[in-house]
Amino acid sequence: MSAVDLDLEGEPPLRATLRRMRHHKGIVFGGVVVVIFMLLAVFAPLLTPYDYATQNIANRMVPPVWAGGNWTHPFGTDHLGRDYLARLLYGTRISVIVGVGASTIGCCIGVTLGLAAGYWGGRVDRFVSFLLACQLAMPTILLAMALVFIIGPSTLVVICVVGVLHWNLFLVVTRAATMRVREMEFVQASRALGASPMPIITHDVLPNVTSHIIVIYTFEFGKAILAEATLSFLGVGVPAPAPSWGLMIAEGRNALFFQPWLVIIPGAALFLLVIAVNLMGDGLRDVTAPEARQ
Amino acid sequence: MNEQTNASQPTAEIENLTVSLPVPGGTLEAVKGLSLSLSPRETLGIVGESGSGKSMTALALMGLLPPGARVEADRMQVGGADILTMSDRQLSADIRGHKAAMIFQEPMTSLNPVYSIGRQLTEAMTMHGQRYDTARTRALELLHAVGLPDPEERFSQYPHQFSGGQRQRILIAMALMNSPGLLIADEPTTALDVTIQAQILDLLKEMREKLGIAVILITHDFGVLSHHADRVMVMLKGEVIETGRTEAVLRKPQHEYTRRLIDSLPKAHSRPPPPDGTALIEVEQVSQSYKFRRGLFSPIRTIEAVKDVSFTLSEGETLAFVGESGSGKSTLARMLLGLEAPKAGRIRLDGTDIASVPDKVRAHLLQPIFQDPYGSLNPRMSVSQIIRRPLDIHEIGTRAERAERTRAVMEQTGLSPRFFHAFPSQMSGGQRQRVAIARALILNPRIIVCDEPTSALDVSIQAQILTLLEGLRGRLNLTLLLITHDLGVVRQMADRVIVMQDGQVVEAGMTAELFAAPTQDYTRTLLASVSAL
Repeated sequence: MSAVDLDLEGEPPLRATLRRMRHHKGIVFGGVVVVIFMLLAVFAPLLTPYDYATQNIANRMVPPVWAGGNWTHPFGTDHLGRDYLARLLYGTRISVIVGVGASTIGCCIGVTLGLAAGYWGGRVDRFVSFLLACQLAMPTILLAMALVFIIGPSTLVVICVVGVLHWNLFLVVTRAATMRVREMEFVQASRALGASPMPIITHDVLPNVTSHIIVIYTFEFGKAILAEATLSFLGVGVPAPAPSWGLMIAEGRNALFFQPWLVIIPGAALFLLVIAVNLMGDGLRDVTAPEARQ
Repeated sequence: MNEQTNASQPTAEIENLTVSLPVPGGTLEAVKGLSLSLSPRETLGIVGESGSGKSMTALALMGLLPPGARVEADRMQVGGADILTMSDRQLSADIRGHKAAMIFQEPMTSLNPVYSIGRQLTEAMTMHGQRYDTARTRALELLHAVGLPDPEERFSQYPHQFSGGQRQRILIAMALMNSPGLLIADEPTTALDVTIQAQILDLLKEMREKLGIAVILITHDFGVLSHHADRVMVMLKGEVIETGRTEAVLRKPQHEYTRRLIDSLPKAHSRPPPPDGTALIEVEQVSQSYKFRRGLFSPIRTIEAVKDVSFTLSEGETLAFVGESGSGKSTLARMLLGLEAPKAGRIRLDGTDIASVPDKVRAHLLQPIFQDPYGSLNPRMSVSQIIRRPLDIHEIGTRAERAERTRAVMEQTGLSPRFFHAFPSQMSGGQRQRVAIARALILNPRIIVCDEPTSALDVSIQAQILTLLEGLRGRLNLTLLLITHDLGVVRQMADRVIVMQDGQVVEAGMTAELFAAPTQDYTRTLLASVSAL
């Protein structure tokens, strides 16, 4: 084959996808924001001289600098006099870990069950649907509280509990998409080739349901952070004094009317991160979609 | 009916119509400078391949073009109303369903599944202020006219309770509710079985004569045109390249493209009968049935898809299975491909019982080509990945060897190397079907099972694919099992034919003999319903 012919073969798919990613505004913006948050989390000790747990009752409820405070505590202090910037930065670590960890666990459980139910159908499907019905019928918060209470609160336990309770959306969406894909002729072509179920599921089915999974993943990422906040709010989340954004919102609630910044600051951070992750997810779905290759 | 149109005035008239559509990176002229005129009781056939602008012309007449489309014309009138100057609201009130009505290709999706057909029929009139009683009487009258059995009883039934042919009849009745002067039929029979196709086309003809309406028949099937159109308009890339009386155009096509379209119709073709090879597939009294129940407590129902079918396929021959949908021909193919096991009977592949042939050995023996080149290729994989997949599954060769073999098969099937990294969504239907053929060939199988290999393709593309298959059959000494409802394809390709109906073999024989002298009634009906040129 001559060099000219090879040249005509076009761009390899991976490189084409990367090129499209660079030109996608959502991915670029979302990616930049997520990377900034990651850097803040990693380099938190370098960015603030304060410890997130050191209390200073004499200096409590200092407002942030733009609301009449001073540059010693740019984001002010909370009701125990702890520096709010330090808590926010350290809190990023926990929130990001909980978000990624919990939604990944949920994703693994839900997608596995969904692929199995959708691909094999019949008894497998009925069993999985039964599991789903049980999960939906259970009062999740109660169950989460009970679990955390029995095992004892720690970040890892919170991640696992939130993850184990957030797989139903993954399951429902994956199962429906798999059922549609498995009836398509390219799956039958693979079966006629003598391929066993595993390669068919990983090669033929999974790539065609990933776009749905990405969307659910970014959605669940935000929900997991909020679920952790709920648990913290109820006192069974990440144990104090470790800061998480959810815990910060929960603690700031008492002073909501006098010092709204205590809720607004972690709330804004949470909002920004969730938006960025969602934009990235939507962008990834767009650039990997077959229709994007025109 | 249709008294307002006097005979001298054309029912529809277009002068110099141009439709431009916005596409990424510019505008596409979907229709360029088209003129037509249609008198009452006349049928104009518009023929062309997908993308030739034939549907756009029809949609322009109804004012139903997609948003963003620009329409320019010197004159465009339907039933005396100038549709160029009308607003969307006026078009809905006066044109759509009134002066012009349309029936679409897909009778399965053109009716709303949640309303009874009676309601859908009467709505066409009551929405415009007619009384329900009047509408109901009219609907029943039309359902009688289109030949739907027991209209009074079936009036309140839902679309899923009707067959495809019946639904198309209902749609025709619905289109005629407000006595339009013009009926536009966009590929009205493409989705139907051949025997039903003939009935629907005859019905259209009858309605046209009885009600004095003009019909625009959009199709890609020259056979349909030759029997049902008075005049033909051939379109290519938005332009009318030839127009005239049907017989004249078909006998003496002026334009080179028309000639090519007519030539590309499958033709009777005799090749020397293949020497008696060894039997590759032996099927003995195979039956297949499915059990299902609608709900948890409803009784189990059994559907017999294949009953007592026996045949042999010898090396080097081409055997065609012909039958309408539901005749069991695809089920048979699925059993041969190992996608399901027969309930009774024996299938032997190359002398071994199919149950004891390992999947991967069977894959080396026979490979499928499916009907829909859109559904048979994984949209997330590139062409080279798709074609190489069989080698990956069977773990044959190194990476480089696999790529080399992929290039070789691509060349064999006439795929340019620039498609190596392309994705199916970037290719046309014909190119995709070539990819599917390349994937089937890469393992060097001895038998190819083609399930309706060309029915989703345009005529000229269909001819190319058939020629490709013929060429490959000769060069690689392939044995073909062809499943189709297209008798033209059968006549061109097959040595032997088996006609199936309701899961049973009706008739079998050599192609030429069976076409010349069918012995069974069903075969005769089937042959008679094909609109040959």
